[in-house]
Amino acid sequence: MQGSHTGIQAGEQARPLSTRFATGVSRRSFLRLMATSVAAVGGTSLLAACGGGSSTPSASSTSASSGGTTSTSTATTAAAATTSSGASPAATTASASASPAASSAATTSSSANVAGSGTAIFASSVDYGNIDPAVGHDGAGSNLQKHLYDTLYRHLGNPAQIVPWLATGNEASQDAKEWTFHLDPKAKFQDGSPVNADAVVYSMQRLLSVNQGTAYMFKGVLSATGVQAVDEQTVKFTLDSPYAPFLHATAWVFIVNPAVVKQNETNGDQGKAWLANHSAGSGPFVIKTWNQGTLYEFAADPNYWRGWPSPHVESWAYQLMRESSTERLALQQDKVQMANWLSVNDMKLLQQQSGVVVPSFPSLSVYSIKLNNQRGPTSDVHVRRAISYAFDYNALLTYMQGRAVAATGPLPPPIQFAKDLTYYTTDLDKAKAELAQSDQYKGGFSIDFTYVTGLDEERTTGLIMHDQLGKLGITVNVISVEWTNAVATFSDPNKSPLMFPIYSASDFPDPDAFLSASFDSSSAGTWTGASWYKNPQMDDWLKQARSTTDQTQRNSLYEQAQKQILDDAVEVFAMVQTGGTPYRDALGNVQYCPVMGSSPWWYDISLKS
Amino acid sequence: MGRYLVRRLLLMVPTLIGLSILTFIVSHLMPADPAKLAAGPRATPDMVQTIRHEYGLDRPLYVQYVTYVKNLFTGHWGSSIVSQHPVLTDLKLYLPNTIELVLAAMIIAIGLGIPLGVIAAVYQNRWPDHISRIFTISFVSLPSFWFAILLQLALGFSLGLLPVDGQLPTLMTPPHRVTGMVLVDSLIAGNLSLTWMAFQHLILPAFVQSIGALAIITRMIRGDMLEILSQDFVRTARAKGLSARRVVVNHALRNAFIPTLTLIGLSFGFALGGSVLVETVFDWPGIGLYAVNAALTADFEPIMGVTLLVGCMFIVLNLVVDLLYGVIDPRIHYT
Repeated sequence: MQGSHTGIQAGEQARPLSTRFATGVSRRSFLRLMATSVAAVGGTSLLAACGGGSSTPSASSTSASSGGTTSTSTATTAAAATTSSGASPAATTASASASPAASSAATTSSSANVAGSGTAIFASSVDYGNIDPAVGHDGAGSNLQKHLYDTLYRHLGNPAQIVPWLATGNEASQDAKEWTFHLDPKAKFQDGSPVNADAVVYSMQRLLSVNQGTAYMFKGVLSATGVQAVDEQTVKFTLDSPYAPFLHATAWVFIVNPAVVKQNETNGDQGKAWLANHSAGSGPFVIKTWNQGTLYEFAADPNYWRGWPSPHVESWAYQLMRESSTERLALQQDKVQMANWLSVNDMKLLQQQSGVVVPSFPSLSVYSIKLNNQRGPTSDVHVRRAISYAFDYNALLTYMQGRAVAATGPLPPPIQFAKDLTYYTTDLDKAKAELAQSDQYKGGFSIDFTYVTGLDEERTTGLIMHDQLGKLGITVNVISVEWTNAVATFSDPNKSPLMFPIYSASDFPDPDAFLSASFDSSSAGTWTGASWYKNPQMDDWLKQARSTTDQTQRNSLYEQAQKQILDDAVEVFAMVQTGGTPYRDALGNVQYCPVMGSSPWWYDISLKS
Repeated sequence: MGRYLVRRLLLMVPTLIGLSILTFIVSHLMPADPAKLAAGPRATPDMVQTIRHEYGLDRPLYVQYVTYVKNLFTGHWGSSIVSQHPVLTDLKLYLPNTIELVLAAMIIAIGLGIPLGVIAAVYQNRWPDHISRIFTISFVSLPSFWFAILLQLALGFSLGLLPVDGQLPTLMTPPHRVTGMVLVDSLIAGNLSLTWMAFQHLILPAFVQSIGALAIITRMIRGDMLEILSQDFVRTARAKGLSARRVVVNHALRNAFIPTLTLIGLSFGFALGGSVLVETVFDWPGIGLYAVNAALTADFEPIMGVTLLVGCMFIVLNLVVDLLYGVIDPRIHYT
């Protein structure tokens, strides 16, 4: 209370209190009082903060640091300025480069080195969880992993293409069971040790042993003994069962430095605790700053084994901004150069902003409404078809304001090869005709539409469904639940929601990644398999398609599978989100790739001063 | 006093045990499956089981609880099932940030709330009182996240007067960590420019965090002051010829302050556990944000850790407030 007073003047002290109360206070004295109070608070704040510090137990430093080097490249600039700047005109939409297999793919282990320049700030609302390659594999984490680690093959460009990275090539047997990879002899980890076949074997076996992260891709396909080092530069995978998309799956096996991991093991944890926020890879960037929950900075490794053939950033920072509007404003004011996970409205506002590029490409993210195929009204195929016909797809696309395109079946447009699929469009007459054949209908029923609390496009989807099905005499109860609680219900068909919207992003651009994830019986009960669809014929088609490298045969099988899925109206395929991260036009050569979180590949990106 | 203190400290033990049991049971009654969430969208049942086993989630509930409590005493507060970071390490990282925010907010709330309350009481039903009422009712009614965004837009983005997020400018190297509070550590490091920047970053979040408590303190002080000012001893003091300032500050306010002191203690405790909205909007990495992120992924051990820590601090704060009663009012004795 020191320093605060009531504004009573010293010379007035003799006045009786009752008189003071009865009379008014002058505006001047009141303002002076307030100014004094505010000044006192300000001063007290500083003093208290100082004092508070001395009495607070000191906390030991906990922020992790990789000890990675900053990029003060002294490398020669043999091939400077060969990469296009990619700078887009102001106030443009979808003008970023979308060339297949980005420039980085063509620059295999070039000796050319261009020094990095500048630090770009990438704002995001999603924090990094666990970046251990054998554990974490969410969108944000995998985007970081691909900068810290290398893989045998890598997805680049849009449409995403699989290109050799640590490997120089591979041979696959006709039955897709034996895969042999030849490593680039120049490949080096960040500590200078070679990336050899033993490192690949160790990384693969570690992934299978930890049994988390992307280990599901190899379930029933590869066991620990199936991966062997043939020689220093050759590694061979012998699969337990044929797996045609195996090459795509290798893009999710990040190669770790065995020596570094073993140095940091604790109680035989295979380095899991340490790798959660450190790296041991051969990628182009090293961790420079790791301030958990606030800011991370990654510096270009000047000694990266593939070299730096084009202009690039010296480092990039990942700054957490948890509010979409804050991200947008920071991008508009050039306080950050890129921002992701923005709301539909903020994306729309950015499209009108000069100096900001808002790319928009069809992504691999299909938004569908899972219908429980095992219980309630939606167990009846006629009801499911009626719902698919009744849904107003255009209303949803209007709400998305150009950030989505119509779905043309279970597969997203970038990999949809089947041209004559008959997919659902809004038609209430057909919906009524389907309901007329249903035993469940009986003139109407009530059904729950469950969505995740806080997700506005899902709520809007529910309201559209409510309006449309209401026209058919069906009452839709739009219910919000926490994501944590929703996930818990998926594993039981008797609890799994009757209607539940969800985005399904693909691990790689192959039909197997989508169709097996959602429509194979073995996937029932997972997030993507929340429809609980079980069809032995479907399982057989999908198995056959995984077992051959003959692409024509695979396409034929996947076409049959898609037709069956649509005929069974397993889900309502509502839309396909468009991808692309908004950025300032000061960034050059920003390329979109829909795989691994659809986020930027900083190896290629430059920053104009 | 000594015996009272010991008794209160001993009472903390059963309170904390009760709190831990309650939190543990409530956490585990939730239908959420943390292992399934951590395993990801396509994890197979055996992958989920691997995580469940690793974190002991496949054991009976009472075994899990006993193990958890035993580990607490050995300094192992568990680890996040999502990030695998040790909870204690995370708490040491995030708690000082929240304390810094809440301390600053309470200084604002107390520093402004008490004078405003006194003025409102002294000038009851006159324009200072009306202005005070408008502000306090507005502050109490405004959703803090909305008010925060409004201030960000006005003072940060439009006028450019204050930074709108974080604790320091992006890419600014933080001071050497001593207390974990950036402002304090900047001062300790003797870096005045860093201190100034940290102070600027603290202003908006601290102000938004303070408004609820500020409004309540103002109204509380006003109400209590009005009651006290009408009592005989105030008239006596005035009759003795004491100055108006001494009557109001030394006699009336001192008596009116005790209920507010309780309120301040409670507000401080609530703010420690309830700063999440402000922390989210201003990207302030505190324990509120940490707890909510944990709750969104059903990450039990961080939730337990935060609950116990905040509970512990709440109990200590209440004890401090109780002891302060005796300091402010000599009639109150503890035996």
